[in-house]
Amino acid sequence: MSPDVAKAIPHLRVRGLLTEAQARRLLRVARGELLSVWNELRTLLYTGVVLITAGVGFLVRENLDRLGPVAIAIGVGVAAAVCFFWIARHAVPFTWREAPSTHLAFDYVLLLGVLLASADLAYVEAQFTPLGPNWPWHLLFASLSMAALAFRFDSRVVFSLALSTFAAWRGVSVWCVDQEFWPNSGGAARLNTIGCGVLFVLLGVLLVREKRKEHFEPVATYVGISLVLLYLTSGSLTDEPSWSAHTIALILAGASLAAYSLHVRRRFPLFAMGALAVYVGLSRAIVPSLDDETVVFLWFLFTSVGAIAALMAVHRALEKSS
Amino acid sequence: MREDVEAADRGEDVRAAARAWNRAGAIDKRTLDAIRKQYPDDRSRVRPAFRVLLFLFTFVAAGSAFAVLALNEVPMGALLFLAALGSIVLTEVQIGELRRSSAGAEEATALLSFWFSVAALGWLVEDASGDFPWRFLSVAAAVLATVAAWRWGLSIFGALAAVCLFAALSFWYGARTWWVLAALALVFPLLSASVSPRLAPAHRRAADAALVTVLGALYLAVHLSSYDWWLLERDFWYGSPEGSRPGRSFFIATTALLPLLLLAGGVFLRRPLLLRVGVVLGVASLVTLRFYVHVAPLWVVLLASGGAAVAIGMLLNRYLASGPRGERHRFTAEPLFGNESRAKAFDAGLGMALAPGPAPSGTPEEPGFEGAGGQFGGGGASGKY
Repeated sequence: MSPDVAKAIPHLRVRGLLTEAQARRLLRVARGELLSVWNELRTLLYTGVVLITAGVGFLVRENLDRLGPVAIAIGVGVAAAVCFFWIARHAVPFTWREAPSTHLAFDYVLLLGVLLASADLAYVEAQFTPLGPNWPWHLLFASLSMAALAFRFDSRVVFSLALSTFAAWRGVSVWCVDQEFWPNSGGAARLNTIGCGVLFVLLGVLLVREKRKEHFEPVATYVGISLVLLYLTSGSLTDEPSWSAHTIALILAGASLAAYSLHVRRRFPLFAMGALAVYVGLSRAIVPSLDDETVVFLWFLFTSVGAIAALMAVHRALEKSS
Repeated sequence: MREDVEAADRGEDVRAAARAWNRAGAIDKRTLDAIRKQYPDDRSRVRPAFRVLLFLFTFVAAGSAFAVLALNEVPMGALLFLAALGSIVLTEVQIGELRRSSAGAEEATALLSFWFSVAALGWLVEDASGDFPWRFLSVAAAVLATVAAWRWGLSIFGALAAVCLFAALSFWYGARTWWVLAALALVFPLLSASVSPRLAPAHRRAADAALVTVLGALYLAVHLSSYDWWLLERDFWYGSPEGSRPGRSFFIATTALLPLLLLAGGVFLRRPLLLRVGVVLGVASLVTLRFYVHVAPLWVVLLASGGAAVAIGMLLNRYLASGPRGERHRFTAEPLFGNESRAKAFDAGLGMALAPGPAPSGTPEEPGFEGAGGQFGGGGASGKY
């Protein structure tokens, strides 16, 4: 509901900018006479999916002895199959372009099916250990299956889940905050992180170049770049001998990203990530060599003011060029 | 609020609506440009990414300047007053002379002016009496936040004003009663303010922010757990007394009824904000119910509530979509002119939130199925389930 918009619409109608039919519909919305609960319903559905997934986890845990592993595996599998059956009934024919959504719940039922199926797969692997010591490979299988489903049914939610599951297979958690940059995992996890990051960015490039599900590209790019910058930042903030190399790489990567995203792609969140990476890298390189606290704060004071001035100048230039 | 700022704010509301209409395909690009000409923007606005960076760097710059002066033994009281005054002047200049709006830097200085002012007042009063004056400071902070919300129209100040008011009331005897009375006294004026055409859109948003806080405070005051744990009584700080208190059934009823009242209010008054708050508080009440009454094992509760949420969502969608022109009782499940593309981008983040834990690097051991439901991942399992 917006009183100012409601007041403006009749003026726009009088000036001939809106037709009578347009004005009538827009006015209903602006006056709050027609209210959308689209967001509320989506939130409700997502909450439901999360609760059901958690419920299945507890069901398995608390009833393993009573039901037995075969019954549990079949039960969860059947629940996933029901979801996929519903999805198959409501899906539009495959297209490499963005497909129109046929049902508000489509993405969420698909997500539920995928979560149940991958949980079932993990359960089977844990109970019957068909892969033995190579059990993490089931994550790769899950990730590839999710990616296939995401492409077939045009789901960004499932695509992002596929990427994060792939990263999990390589021992990388996108939510690594609780592990404080992998204190005990050493170089292997860091290499996996940058490997996944670069792979996701390349995947994004490929999607755009081949014009295949181009709208998935931002998901792959943002996740990939986040992982690369996270890797470089974590390497830069350690006391290991390689910190200087990581710092230089962080500055260069940040600067390249900022310049590329600003001048070529006009993608401003990426510019912000790049600019922050440069600032963190520069501060990491300079601050340890400053031995007076006042000078350290003076560094932050002057560089921040400089950054503000630079951002203002860049923004003004952008405004002029557009 | 300055008149020119208010006029610009009202114009921006119309332009934002026109952009949403264009995105939804209700108007074409030419009409959008014509509307922009009708409601020109004289403010200096920046893109969201720049806004975040400017906010961040302004905070770092101001904090560093403060630290430099503090390290060089500038008297703290004078420094705090100087910082407060400086931030206020900077905010005024940016909003007034420089005509900045949603540009990050002026929002950072506005917030800093509030914190520095409160700190300066705290320093002043503490120095005079020797005892820290929390009650006075909360009242002063509530007044300052209200003035800031009125002058600069930032919605965060609406929420801050309400938080400080309830913090101040906590220091009075019978805080729970005061909380309920204050919330009831504020709810209806705020409901009215948040759609009042006389107020600028920024003030309406601040009223919305305050309203959410007030409803949260009301729920906390009438919530069964807060009553049982003496959360709003002084005894809470010294250990809750043993034994039950009279009137417990009243709190059981209010914990259950308040979310329903808000949902009903949202439907009848056609206010989405009340619907959203009602849903969130409803979930909180269900969790409370589970905490007090073990109606069934946790997995049953989770599966039943999850299934119910999905079923209700799908049934409501079907009911609304099957109405004439996809609407019933003037409600629709269509996105209308909201930002559908932004919501879809947000969806990608939802997938990430369900990401499984990482597989251990190096030679993995065979997983033992622990069935720790809390670790139940999304796209697989980390060997812990």
